[in-house]
Amino acid sequence: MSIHLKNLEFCYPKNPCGATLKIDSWSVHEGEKRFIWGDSGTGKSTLLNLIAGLLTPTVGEVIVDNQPLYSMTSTQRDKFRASNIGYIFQRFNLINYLSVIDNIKLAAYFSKSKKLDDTLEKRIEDLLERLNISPFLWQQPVEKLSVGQQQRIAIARAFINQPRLLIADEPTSSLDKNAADKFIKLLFALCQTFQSTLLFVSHDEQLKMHFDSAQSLSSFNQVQG
Amino acid sequence: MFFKIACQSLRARKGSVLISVFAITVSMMVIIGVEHISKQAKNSFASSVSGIDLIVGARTSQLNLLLYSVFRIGSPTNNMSWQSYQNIEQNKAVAWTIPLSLGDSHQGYRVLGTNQNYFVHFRYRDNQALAFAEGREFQGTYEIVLGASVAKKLNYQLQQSIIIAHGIGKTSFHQHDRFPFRVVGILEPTGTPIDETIHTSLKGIEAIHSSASKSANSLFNGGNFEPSAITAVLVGLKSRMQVFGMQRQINTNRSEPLLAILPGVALAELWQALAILEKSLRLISIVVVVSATLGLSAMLLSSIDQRKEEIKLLRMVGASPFFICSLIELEAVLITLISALLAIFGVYFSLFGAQQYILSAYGVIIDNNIFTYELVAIFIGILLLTIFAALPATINTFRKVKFT
Repeated sequence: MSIHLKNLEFCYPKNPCGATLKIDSWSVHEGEKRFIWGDSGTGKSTLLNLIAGLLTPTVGEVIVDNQPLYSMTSTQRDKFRASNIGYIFQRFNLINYLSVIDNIKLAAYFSKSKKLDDTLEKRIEDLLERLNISPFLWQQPVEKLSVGQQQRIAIARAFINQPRLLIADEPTSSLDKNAADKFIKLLFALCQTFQSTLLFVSHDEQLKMHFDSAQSLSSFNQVQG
Repeated sequence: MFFKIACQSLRARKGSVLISVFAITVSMMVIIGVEHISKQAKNSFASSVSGIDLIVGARTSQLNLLLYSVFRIGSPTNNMSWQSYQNIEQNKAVAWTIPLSLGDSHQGYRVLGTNQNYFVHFRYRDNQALAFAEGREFQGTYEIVLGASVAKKLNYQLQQSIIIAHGIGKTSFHQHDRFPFRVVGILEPTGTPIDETIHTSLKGIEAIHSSASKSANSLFNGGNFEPSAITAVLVGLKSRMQVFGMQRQINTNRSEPLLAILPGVALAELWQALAILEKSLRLISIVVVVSATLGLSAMLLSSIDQRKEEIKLLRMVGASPFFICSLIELEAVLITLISALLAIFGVYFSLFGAQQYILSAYGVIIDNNIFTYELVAIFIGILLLTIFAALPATINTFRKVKFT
């Protein structure tokens, strides 16, 4: 799924002192695995929120999958996000009090397909097995699981709707180097399976070696943190 | 899914949720209890008199006469003479009279001196006559008939001997222990103060009071006896049309200052007097409910801060702001629903337990069937209040969600 930003400018309504992002033109191609690094507070998450349609640009256009997000209603954007975009954060990827299975079902619940049928159960089980989560844990509330397990379940959650774009916001920052490498490999493998475009953001420049294209946020954001 | 999230989320916050549930349960119990008891008390009062045209007693306030003659609440200020009673009884307009003589007690239960007319003419609720569960009416001087709850509470059987004290306290220093009375009858329950009353003949009352040496034997032997005074008379007229004329006649009687009242009018005055009390109780219970829902409101609002990440995540997987706001409202409504159920059961079972006590302490029958239209109205009112109470949290969330 392709992404294009055109003449984009964004400032938070509560921050009158200036824009957070100002991007003339930037794009990600279909099927690409793009890595973006930048220091904390430079607008990485803001950029991702704009692409996911959680925020709307102050000025300019966001075009995802050739669809202009800025002209959709907020309901359409929510639907679009639920059906097409998988998202993984550094932490708080899951709702603590719901079970592993329910967390994943929740993501399916909001998607366009609403395939809350038997194929869903099967798809969840396949994903969890592939991610090496023992069936013993499936009905457990996620708060009982380790950080590493939670991150893998977050992957399952992100991929359940077979998203065409996967956004990862510092997903490895809570993991040690070894686990992080494994995590990225797993992510790549799943992106391969589901033909998902990957947009991966981190403050850790080191990770760029895994990706086919990498750039720093400051290289295309004209607002310099 | 929606419902499941709400339930699980409440379960995850057991502590604060339980406290809110408790607060709302207590407040709902107060409001349901107050409404129910005041309504039942009214019913109970209204059903205590039926078919009586006039109540006559020594001159006092209308309310006082009604209270002590029918409900056994308070004490008579003065007696009326036997002569006046006979004048009323012999009046052409009068169909029947029931003399009442009060002022004594047994184990805290009032003793009522009367005559056989009582069992013939007295009516309660919708013109229902008194019926015997066991035994018969009193005939001799030392015979008594017990109200249903007296017999049950004190576990008295037919033929049992009891001692009657002078005065109406539970413990009296003047126990007239020379004259044991014998139980000859037990009445069916009526749900009126009659259940709490011990009935005997006017002679029996006189026997308690007359000095032992003087006339005990002559009384017992059924000697020619007339009481000197009684407390009040219940009067039934031949024609209802004559009620005002008769009332006027008694009220203007020159030989003795008497008061005749119409039970219906006196009851209306009683409602008026109680209305202020009823209104203030209702006001207090509403304030209690409002303060409990304000507590809920504060709890929900502070929970929103703790749930920032959860809300962000829900947004990310595609939940609309509307979904998230509805979720918060649903949680509030669930808290109220649980509280309502607990409160209804709570009131139901406390009334079940307190019924006997209220009856014996206040002579008021409280039915523990609380499932009325009022309950539904209260319930809907509190539900609406809850939806309001959740609004600050909902609006706060909506803002956060819109401008992250």
